[in-house]
Amino acid sequence: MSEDSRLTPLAQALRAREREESERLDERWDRLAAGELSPAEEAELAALAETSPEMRAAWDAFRPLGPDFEARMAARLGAGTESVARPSPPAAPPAPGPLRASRRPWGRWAAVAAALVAAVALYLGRTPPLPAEWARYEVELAGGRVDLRGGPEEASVPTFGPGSVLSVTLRPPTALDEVPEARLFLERQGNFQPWPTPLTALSQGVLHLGTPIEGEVAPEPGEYRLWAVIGRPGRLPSASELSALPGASHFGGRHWIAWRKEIRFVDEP
Amino acid sequence: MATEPVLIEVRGALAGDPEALRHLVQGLTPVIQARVARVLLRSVVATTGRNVRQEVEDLTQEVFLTLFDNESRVLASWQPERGLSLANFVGLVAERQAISILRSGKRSPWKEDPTFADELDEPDPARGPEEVAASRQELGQLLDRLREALSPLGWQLFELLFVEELPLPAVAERTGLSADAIYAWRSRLRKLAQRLAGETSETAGSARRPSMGGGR
Repeated sequence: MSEDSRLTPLAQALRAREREESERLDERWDRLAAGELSPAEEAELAALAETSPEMRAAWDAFRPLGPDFEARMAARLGAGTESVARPSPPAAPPAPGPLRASRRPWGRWAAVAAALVAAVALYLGRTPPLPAEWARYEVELAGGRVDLRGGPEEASVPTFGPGSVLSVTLRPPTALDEVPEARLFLERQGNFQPWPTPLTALSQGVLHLGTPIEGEVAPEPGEYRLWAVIGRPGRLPSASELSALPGASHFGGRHWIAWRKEIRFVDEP
Repeated sequence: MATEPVLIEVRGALAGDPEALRHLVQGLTPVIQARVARVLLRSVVATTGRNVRQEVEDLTQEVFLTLFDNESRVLASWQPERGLSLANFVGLVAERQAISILRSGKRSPWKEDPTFADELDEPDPARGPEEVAASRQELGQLLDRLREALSPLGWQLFELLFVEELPLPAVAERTGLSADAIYAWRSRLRKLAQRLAGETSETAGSARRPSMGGGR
């Protein structure tokens, strides 16, 4: 037995493990976590997630943790590092070299921070995340009436009949400089159709649609889900890509975010 | 090395600039998430009805805390000249912490450059990975124990020397380490594997032994 034979079985086990894992969970799953999948690839993995509990667990595990998690994490870490960066009492001797400079977070540190961001992006080689504010858009549905016929659990479903005006407003938490592209989809029993009229970008990142329910814009009577999707320009999903996703009230990724609202169309005013 | 003062300054920037910290967290989150997800999904946790999504989030958070604890000591120990990108370095930290937490419920104490040679100077030639290899599961456990015990640099050397089987000059070129340092690491790795194999054998042996307490 050579000396290296003590480690050889472990090396073989690692190679075998990596080979099995790459067959079971290929590199697309890593790119899912990074939000770097194309919509078609993401839809493929979402469909795969429906095939077994193991794949469902993989979908849950790799789906991006998202801007909310990142904001909470940065806040928690920032709370810890603030105490490190807090200026010493005047009598305390300054820390040597660069650490002393870190007590003055202005001027050159802004440049260092910018360099850090660039360096991290370079090392990681990945698309920057969506702006955190995008995940906090509020989707407001107005213009319909509340249909009380269906019982308490259905009482809040906005209902639209001929001649009513469907008003959808996507409102950011604060005024935005970078406004996302947006699109609406109507879903019925898993079938998605893009809404025929576009949203209009108002000031400060607000996106709005106001359209009378009449003519070609009057869906067949029934229960629907209205999906509002925002994302990077040119990276929004298609209707078929949305239809491949498993059921959920919202989705968030590195390129787009979607929310849904229950909605009902009727054939009487 | 020119990168060292840069790293120190980066740490200072992280301490004083919340925007820089936010971007760093954004950059590292998917790297950490993917690594801990893979560890989690090959563990029994994934099949015992626990909330995988929550487990991934908790583990990712724990890895961040490890990186930034003690004035970001772990993050600041990244040395690009050793051949690991920041993503790979953080990924190795993430795997190590995830394995440790899933096995023991605790974060693994950080060792930048483990000096376990002294405590391993009691080789027991009767035990080695060969015995443990009788069970694939035990070998997998031993692999996880090795991963847990090694720093990113130690694991990198295990991969280069024993998995990729690179010759010493190539390892020296990749890591910037001297030949003597690589020999020392090779010796440490052998001794560590031997010790862990012994521990794993004992654990597995006692688990396999029938109970003497009147079980049926």
